[in-house]
Amino acid sequence: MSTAAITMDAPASPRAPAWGAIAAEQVRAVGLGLRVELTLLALFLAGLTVLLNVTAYRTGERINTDIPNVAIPLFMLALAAPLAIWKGEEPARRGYLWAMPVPRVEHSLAKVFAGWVWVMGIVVVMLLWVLAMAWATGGDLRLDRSLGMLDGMPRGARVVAPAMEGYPWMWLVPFTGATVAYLAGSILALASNYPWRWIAGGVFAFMMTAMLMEMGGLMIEELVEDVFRAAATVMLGTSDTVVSYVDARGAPLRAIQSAPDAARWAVSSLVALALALAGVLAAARRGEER
Amino acid sequence: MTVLPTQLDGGPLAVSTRGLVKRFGRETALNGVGLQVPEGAVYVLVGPNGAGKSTTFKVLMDLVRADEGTAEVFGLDPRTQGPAVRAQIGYVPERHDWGYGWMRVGRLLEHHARYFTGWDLEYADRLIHHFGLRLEKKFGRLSKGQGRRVHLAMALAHRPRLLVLDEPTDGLDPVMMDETLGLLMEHVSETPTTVLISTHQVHDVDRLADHVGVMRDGKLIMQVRREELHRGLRRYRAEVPDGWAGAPELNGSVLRRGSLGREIQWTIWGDEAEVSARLARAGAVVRDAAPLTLADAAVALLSRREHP
Repeated sequence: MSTAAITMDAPASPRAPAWGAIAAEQVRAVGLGLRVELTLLALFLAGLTVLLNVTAYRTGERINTDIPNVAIPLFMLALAAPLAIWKGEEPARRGYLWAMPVPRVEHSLAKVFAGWVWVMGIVVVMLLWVLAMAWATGGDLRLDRSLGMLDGMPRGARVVAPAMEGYPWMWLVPFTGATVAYLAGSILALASNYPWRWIAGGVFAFMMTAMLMEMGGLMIEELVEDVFRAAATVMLGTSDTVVSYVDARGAPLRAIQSAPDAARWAVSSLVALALALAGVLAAARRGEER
Repeated sequence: MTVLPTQLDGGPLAVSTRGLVKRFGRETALNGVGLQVPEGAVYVLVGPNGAGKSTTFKVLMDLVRADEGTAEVFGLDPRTQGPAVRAQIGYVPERHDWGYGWMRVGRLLEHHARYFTGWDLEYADRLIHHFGLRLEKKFGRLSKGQGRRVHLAMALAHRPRLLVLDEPTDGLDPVMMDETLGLLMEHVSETPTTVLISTHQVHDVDRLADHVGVMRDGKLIMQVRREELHRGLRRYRAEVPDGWAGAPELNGSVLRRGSLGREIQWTIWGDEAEVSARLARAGAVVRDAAPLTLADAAVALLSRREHP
């Protein structure tokens, strides 16, 4: 810029950048910030691919695309992702983010959104990877085929009801489960200077609760089991369902088994999403202009 | 005791705070700060480490909330109108790790630019060239001085109405400091800007300042126009008779005392003619009443005891 082109008139107040532009920039910036973690994940998957394929080749074992194999690691990954996304930007050190000329709540939410975009990208890649692994080892490619793999079924038994397959909504479970976990992790990252302490505290609390359950605290046991059941439904899309099956001789049997449950999954996931979103909003209000 | 000026008269203010109080636990960081920075001024806020300068700046950026008092930037309240306030400020913080350490310098500048719609690309290029910024280097791996230059480029390139620079020369080598101050002067002459600089190295910014504020222990003990400081604060050299009993009329007005034999060197705030007359009435023969450099003035003001 030439000096001559500059006038000494008082400048007008600058325009605020559009939220969309900020969100897009955050998506790019978060991606850059996650480069190391994403590279490590890619290397881990590459190593696992080699290991599983060699094992499958030697033993003839097949890899199926069942939900727990996919959803639980994704859930854990999504829970930890915000800690990587907000690294170095704990509330006490959020000076740079807060010094930008945009409303802080919206700005924090834009960053949470950007992280979510990347987490969903990871879910897509992981699902494609699992499908590729199943295809390569001759395993089952249907993520919605869950009832055929119930635990503890007697040998030769077959499920009569509910239907053994046909749960296409199960494909949504890794996305919704990871979203809930990601939002829960985001609450810690947004609200606490020490999110890892909260995670460690959570594990400690879990262990203490388990100890109390051992000591016979029935109310706690019921409460914890309810929470665990709800979490399992959100994470896996299954709940305890009465399953009718026939044994090898055709005798009818019934058992309570964990099976796909669309209604409970939808309700549990909606409640969990609403709670997690409310938590994120409350945490993002730290530093709000008011 | 002499009352030092803490109010500026007339003219629109770019920054105005009234009775700012901020406590961190038992520590009082700000104790009734009333900062007045006129529009278009280059205001240097002087004070030792821990005087409250950075906290005052953070209040303007709404990075710290005052417990009491109010702050305005161009008539806007940073607490409620933060985005509009911050859009008009180019900020260099005290912290050297401000920004994303994992980003390359070029990407960090690009990221910063997206938030400021007034970002002047050509000017940014000029600043990059001037500061010798290495765009491919990771920001977190820069030295203190290199990081400072990046911060300065980020603050200047969107040509804000107000520059809030917290120890901007900290970490710069003497050559770079000189060039940076030259660039800052050039910026001020090119762009209608108000500049608020804090420093505890006063001589660094001597040539820039047209207004001066002095902070100590969370209080603004003086704020004044540069020429007023030049006029009102003088070092009096006078000869005194043997066994001189001092100048009772000036009790409480002397900011700094020194003596060598029969000669005294007192730094006093006040009208020169009046102070000279009082010294003469006390039996001293005034030889010289010299104005102080900004650095000497700051030392005199900061070393003044509350109850001399």
